[in-house]
Amino acid sequence: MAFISLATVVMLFAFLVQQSLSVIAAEKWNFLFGLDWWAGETYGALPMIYGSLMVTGLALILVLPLALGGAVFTSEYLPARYRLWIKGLMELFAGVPGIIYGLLGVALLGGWVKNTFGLIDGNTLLTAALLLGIMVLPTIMTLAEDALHAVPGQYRDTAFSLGLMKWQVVLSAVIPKALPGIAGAVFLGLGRAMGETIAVMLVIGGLDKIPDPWFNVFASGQSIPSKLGREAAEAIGTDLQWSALMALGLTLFLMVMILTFMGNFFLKRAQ
Amino acid sequence: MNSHPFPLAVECCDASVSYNGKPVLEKISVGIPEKNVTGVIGPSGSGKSTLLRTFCRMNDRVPGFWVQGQVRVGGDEIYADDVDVYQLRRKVGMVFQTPCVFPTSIFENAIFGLKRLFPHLKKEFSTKGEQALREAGLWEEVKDRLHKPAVTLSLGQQQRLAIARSLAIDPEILLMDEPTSALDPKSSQAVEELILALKTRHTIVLVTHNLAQARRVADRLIFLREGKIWEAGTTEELFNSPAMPETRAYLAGHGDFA
Repeated sequence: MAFISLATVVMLFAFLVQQSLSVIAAEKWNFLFGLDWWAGETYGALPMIYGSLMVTGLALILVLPLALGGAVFTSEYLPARYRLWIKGLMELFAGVPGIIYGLLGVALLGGWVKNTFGLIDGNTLLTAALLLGIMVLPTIMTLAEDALHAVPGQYRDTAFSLGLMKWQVVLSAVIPKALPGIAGAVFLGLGRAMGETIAVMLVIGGLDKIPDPWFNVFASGQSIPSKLGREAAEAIGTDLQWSALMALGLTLFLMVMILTFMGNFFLKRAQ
Repeated sequence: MNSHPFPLAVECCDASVSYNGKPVLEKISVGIPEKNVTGVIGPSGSGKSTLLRTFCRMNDRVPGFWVQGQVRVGGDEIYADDVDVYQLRRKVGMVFQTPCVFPTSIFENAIFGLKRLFPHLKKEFSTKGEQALREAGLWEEVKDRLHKPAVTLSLGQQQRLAIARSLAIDPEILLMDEPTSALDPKSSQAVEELILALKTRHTIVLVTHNLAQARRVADRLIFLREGKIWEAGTTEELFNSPAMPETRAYLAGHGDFA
């Protein structure tokens, strides 16, 4: 089983590399660090790489306090019957298709961002980050809650028996014990956020440009998946543009892999 | 029962405990003398652990828990409205069946409670931690690897670390719920020796299934059966001249095989 999944990943990787060769040969490092992407002329992927990192990073910063706070509250403070209710609700939300979130994002979130921050266009990096945050919140929260809930009662008993207050028990006994699971939940959410295509595509603005200054999240942008979603259909049959999109896919693949490895590294250290 | 010749660390008068209306302990009246090892024995399900947990109010969090009658620790009623449970648990430590170490270093485990209860004593953490580890007979084994993860210790060492962790906050009473049942014979012996060493400074209440162990370490015994105290007295009295036929049968090994 492990061999089959490993072989599949290796084959997928090899295919992406093979398909990317011609654009890598043509652009060299300019593919990774170039700022301009004009189909048929030049393929610089940095704005998309930036967009993906910015949007997922921001989504995580926005949603982490809420997701982890919610997980701790649900697991440690909420009576059991309400807990199951919350869990059911979270799992329901986690299963809603991306396009539905995308439509809601277009209908509600874009306008809200536009009006709240007095912008000309509501399709911004921030809008995409907010939408992604909302999308991964239930996943991160319910998985982190699972991790907290799975901590054996013995750890709580032991900490209580030492005379610790409830908040100290939660903070110093339960959360550290659940940390590997919580980190796993966060990285899974991060992976999902990084690969989300359609919802991001609808609200990010679709501009292949790093804003000036770079941290201006009220500007439009482009993420790797949204770029792929926009251009893949028209690029089929072309040589270099198709290759460039495959290389973009490869980049995303590598980014998610690095994240996963980093996650595993921290997980091992936490244990 | 109230006129004991020795000072009592814990005293119960007609204490009854039930969970969701189901009685677990009925009209328990018993005194536990200071700086002694009191063994609690009896068949599985007789309420031994519940009795132990009642002494430090560890049952409070169990839904449907209900207690009646009086339970006094150091002369003070512990189920009164104005009792600070957290203060009580500093005075009455507890060690559980399977050792539970937190995912941190050996030393951090030893001062786990101390650090959080008395953060202002930061300067004394290292001496108090060492003292607790020495008292638990673990210092010589761990002094060169204090900052290694606690899970690298053997199960027997982890149990003594758990004891050290309780000792670090200097409890008057130490409750032990079958502390050796998960350990190998050699580690069990180390813990038994530790219990005997600790009773010069602490009152120890030991729940055990191991009658030989009860005989070796306990000064007094409480025999629980079906939630009631069937018989209590010195270890010699119970083993040599039990008053009740049930006690005799249990001590002869006919009562319980769990």
